[in-house]
Amino acid sequence: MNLIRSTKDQFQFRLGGREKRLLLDLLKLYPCLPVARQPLSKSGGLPDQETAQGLLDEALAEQRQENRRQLQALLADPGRFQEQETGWRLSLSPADLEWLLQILNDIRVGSWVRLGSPEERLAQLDEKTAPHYWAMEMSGRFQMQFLEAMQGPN
Amino acid sequence: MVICWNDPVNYMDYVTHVFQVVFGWARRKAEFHMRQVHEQGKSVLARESMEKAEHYVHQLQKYSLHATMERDE
Repeated sequence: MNLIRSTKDQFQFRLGGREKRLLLDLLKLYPCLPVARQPLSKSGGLPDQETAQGLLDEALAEQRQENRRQLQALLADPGRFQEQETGWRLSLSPADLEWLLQILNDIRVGSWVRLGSPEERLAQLDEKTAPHYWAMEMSGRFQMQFLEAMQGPN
Repeated sequence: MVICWNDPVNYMDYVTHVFQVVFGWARRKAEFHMRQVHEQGKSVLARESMEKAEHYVHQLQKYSLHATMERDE
């Protein structure tokens, strides 16, 4: 995937056919991160912590539902990917890109959690762990490419 | 206090970017806190009222960062 053009309102990327399929397959994995992973506090002792935790869980669940709806709309939008002679052109607004970073990181961290939250790189993969490892690595790769595009040349 | 904790999965560039977006920090300040997270295991990102701290934790967790709020002892 290459950035071919960026303005303040839009980013355009060129993707090969395989890359496009890969990105779409990856995005279909959302949501990946278990909601229960996100405590409001580690040490506890906050005033009315149970209520605050409930509100946070609720807000994250709503966000996740909204993200899922937005993702379905993006995947169904025929204008989002335009076929070119040499592959596909993906057009995204800066807000889309910022939002996609969150989606991709949910997939990355969620896949890592499904691998057992390893501290080190896995020495060996098997048929159970390979799909999660693939999703973790691929989402990270797209994330970094989107981040580079947003940061522009230093 | 709003604290971000280290984990081995989030990229350093991503963490820096999220700090810039959520707190409106310049890249240099965001990098400083990202390094603290990476090297010391955590960084205190803000000391705020309960309500504001909750807001920041929610924003950071939306980006799947490991962030919590703790009492300032």
